[in-house]
Amino acid sequence: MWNMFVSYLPDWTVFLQALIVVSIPYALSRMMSMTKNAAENNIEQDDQEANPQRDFSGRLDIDLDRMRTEFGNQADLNIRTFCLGNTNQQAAILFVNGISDRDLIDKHIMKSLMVDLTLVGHEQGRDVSSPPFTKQYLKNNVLSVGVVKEVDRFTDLSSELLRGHTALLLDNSNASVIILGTRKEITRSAGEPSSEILVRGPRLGFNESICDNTTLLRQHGEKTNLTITQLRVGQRVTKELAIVYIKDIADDNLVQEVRERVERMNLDDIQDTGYIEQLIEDNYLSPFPQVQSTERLDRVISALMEGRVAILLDGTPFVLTVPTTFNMLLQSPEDYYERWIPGTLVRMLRYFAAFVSTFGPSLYISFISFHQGLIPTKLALSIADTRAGVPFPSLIEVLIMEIALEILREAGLRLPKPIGQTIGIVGGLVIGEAAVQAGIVSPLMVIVVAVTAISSFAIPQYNAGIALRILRFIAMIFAAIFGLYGVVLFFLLLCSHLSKLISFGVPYISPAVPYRLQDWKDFLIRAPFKLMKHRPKMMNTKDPLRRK
Amino acid sequence: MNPQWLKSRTLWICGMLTILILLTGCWSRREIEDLGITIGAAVDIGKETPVEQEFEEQGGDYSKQNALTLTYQMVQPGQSSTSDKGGGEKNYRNISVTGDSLYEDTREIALMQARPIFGQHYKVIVISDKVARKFNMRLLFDFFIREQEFRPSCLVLICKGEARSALDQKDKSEFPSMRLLSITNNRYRSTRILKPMSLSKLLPEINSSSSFLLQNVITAEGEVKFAGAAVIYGKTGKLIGFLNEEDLESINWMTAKVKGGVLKSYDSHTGQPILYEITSMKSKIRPHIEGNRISFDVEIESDGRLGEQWENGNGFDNRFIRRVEEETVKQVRKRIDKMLHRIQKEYRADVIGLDQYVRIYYPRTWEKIKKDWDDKFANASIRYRVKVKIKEFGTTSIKVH
Repeated sequence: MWNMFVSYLPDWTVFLQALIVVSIPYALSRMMSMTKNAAENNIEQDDQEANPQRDFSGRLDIDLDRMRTEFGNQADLNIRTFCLGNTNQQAAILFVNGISDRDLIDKHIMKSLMVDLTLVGHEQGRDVSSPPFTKQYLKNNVLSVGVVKEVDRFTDLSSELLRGHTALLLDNSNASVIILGTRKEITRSAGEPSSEILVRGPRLGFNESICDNTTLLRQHGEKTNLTITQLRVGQRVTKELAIVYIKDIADDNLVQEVRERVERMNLDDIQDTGYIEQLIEDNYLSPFPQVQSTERLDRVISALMEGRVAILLDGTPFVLTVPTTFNMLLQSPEDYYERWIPGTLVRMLRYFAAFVSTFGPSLYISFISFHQGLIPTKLALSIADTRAGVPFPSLIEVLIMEIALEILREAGLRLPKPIGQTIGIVGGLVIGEAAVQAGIVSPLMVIVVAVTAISSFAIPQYNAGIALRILRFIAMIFAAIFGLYGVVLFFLLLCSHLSKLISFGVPYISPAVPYRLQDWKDFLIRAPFKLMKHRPKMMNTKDPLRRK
Repeated sequence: MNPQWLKSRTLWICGMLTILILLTGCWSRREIEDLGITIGAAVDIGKETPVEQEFEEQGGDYSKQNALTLTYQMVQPGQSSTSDKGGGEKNYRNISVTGDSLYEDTREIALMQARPIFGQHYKVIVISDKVARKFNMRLLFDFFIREQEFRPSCLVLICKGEARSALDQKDKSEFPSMRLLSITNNRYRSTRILKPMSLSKLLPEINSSSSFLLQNVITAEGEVKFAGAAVIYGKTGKLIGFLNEEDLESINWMTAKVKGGVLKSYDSHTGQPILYEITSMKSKIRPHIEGNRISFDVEIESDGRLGEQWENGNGFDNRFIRRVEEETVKQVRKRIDKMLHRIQKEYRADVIGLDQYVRIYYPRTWEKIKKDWDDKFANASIRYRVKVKIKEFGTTSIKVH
């Protein structure tokens, strides 16, 4: 009896395997949870940071002293003390060299305060020589500058100064400082963005100035309901951020959610909208971009008209639009500019290209290594011939070429434009040809890799292309282990992930899952405008009709 | 993002992936160049090749009775690509193994070749008529159907004589197996080709014990020709005889499984040949059962053109055209009569496939008579009408001056 039990006990190697099988995922999950706890602790510490406040004394010499000490040895802080008009009331203006408009300061502020102040007084026949001038008077009668405001906190003053505004300090006045809008921005013209080029459509793209960008949005026809909410973000380096939406289209809950997430970011410096994208997205483990970023004005406008919300940040031309759905990544504004038949054709082509760029090499591997019977006989024979000299299994072969291609692509990006193209051609052709000649890869492999690469370039959104590129490698490994079965498994895995993914409350592959036939008019095909009367239902818009 | 939830999910996913990697992997991976892609097989009566005899003398022997010789046509990788030489020679190799079991023979090849047989690209299986006369088809094809690595669309042929000679052709510009398969694509040019019988179509025929035809191929001095068909008798599953080319043609006429082809008839006045080219064909078969009497009405209709004439008939003259039609019909009737006599009286096997019509029209009666259908068929009366219409005469016609 006992012997029978013992005979059924497995070997110790099986127990060892079982131990490994259990311990690896457990260790991984422990590591995951530890990093997560650490991140939570950091957030708590950040909240405790003190925020010192200082008020102004109202006496010029004391305030200036304090300014000097506070700003320390900032070389580009300019302090200019002078007397107002022909009186002996002391005043000082402070500005930072370079980012403030010197021309404006010289001609309109200094001149108004030193020269015109006397004239103004005389013309109006008032007793102007009696100091002190009040701030109110100066603001109302003297300063010919568009943006004027008062601050009474030192931190506010310094932030205004650092943004290029000019501070006016008066002797013997109340404890506040006049801020004069003299900001000068170094911007470039709103040209066509080089990363998203269309054949037909407006040649307008955003630039680095949030002011210009909101202007561009406003300029696009008269829209009274375009709401631009400005926020300041960044703990240490504060920046302007704008949340833009169309008030009577966008869902209030969505706007509220975006606002909350943006306010919750708590990062000391936000350099680009890429930071925001990663801080507000729903699932940071997903390979898919859950926030669309674009430089194109028309893309943002059309997203707004669908009830989405745009996030603009000062200092970057990339505008985020949320919520993002999968179909947006494969759409181009051009689909709508051309007639619907070519638009539909091109869009379907893009879906096909997305499929090829994800599954091309993995299908090659599974056909070559597992399912040779599925290849037409003549093709199978010629593949067998060309592969006869290749020393590697197909996975290694594909990996060599794919990695070479990815390196080429990366190198081409870094190089100056004219050289970049040359490198692309030379690298692609020469390496491909040479690799075939050397017998490292088979010619068909080169075709597969080339077709895959071309397909991935057909995807209009760069970050979507990257996502598919990553997935391509995973698919290749699946294919190398399980063949076509593995590819199908991977596809199912991908589908289940995608159908679970949510971007700002909207399911990621939305018109497909949950199934809304109404929205399919603008999904795989682009229906004629006559039929597309409704805005996407998934956006839960206030005004569902596009055209009556 | 509930951490607890996240943790358990991570645990799950990692566990699953680890199990996936550890437990299985690469279990059926074979690179395409490591496979001995086999495009044809031939089965003959056992006769050892000189190589095998020498092997056996040296001790390469195992217990067997040498019932069958199996020949595989394997593609040799390397030079068969046409890229460099432009239609150069195809590189293939026929390997013959003698033994009792087809499966064992196939595995024997693994002892001789770097690339063992890979059967997913079979194009043809050629069976020698001697083998087909000796063995039941069900048993003969058991291996090919049972084996997982077989191609169901593979063509089955009978070869009068030695089957492997059909795979050994003089013309090296094409693989012999491919050539045999490609010939079946020429049905639009000849009525003497049977509708291709693939392995997957063969299986129901065998299992239902009905008689059927297999395309016959003959060889001479390294050349091949499709010549008539072999009659497989349903009850025994063995080959009982052959139909010649004209019989096969008549069967195709009756079932209208024709895509094109010509029919030569002789003008009864002048004795000169006239060629009728088929452009379309229809046939309607209606069975009748009255008591014990089974009869069939077959209506054959064909449209075509005057293809060639060796006499001075005026193609523009309708009377001449009518005469040609009549001659053609006469010729067809003559051939069909001959064919019917052969299959009904000589072979007593329904190879036309009339049983299907009985089954469809009289399902209840069919259940009773299907057991000895071939005998019933032999006594059935088959009436047929042939209508031929010449609609055109090509780009020219001979005029009488």
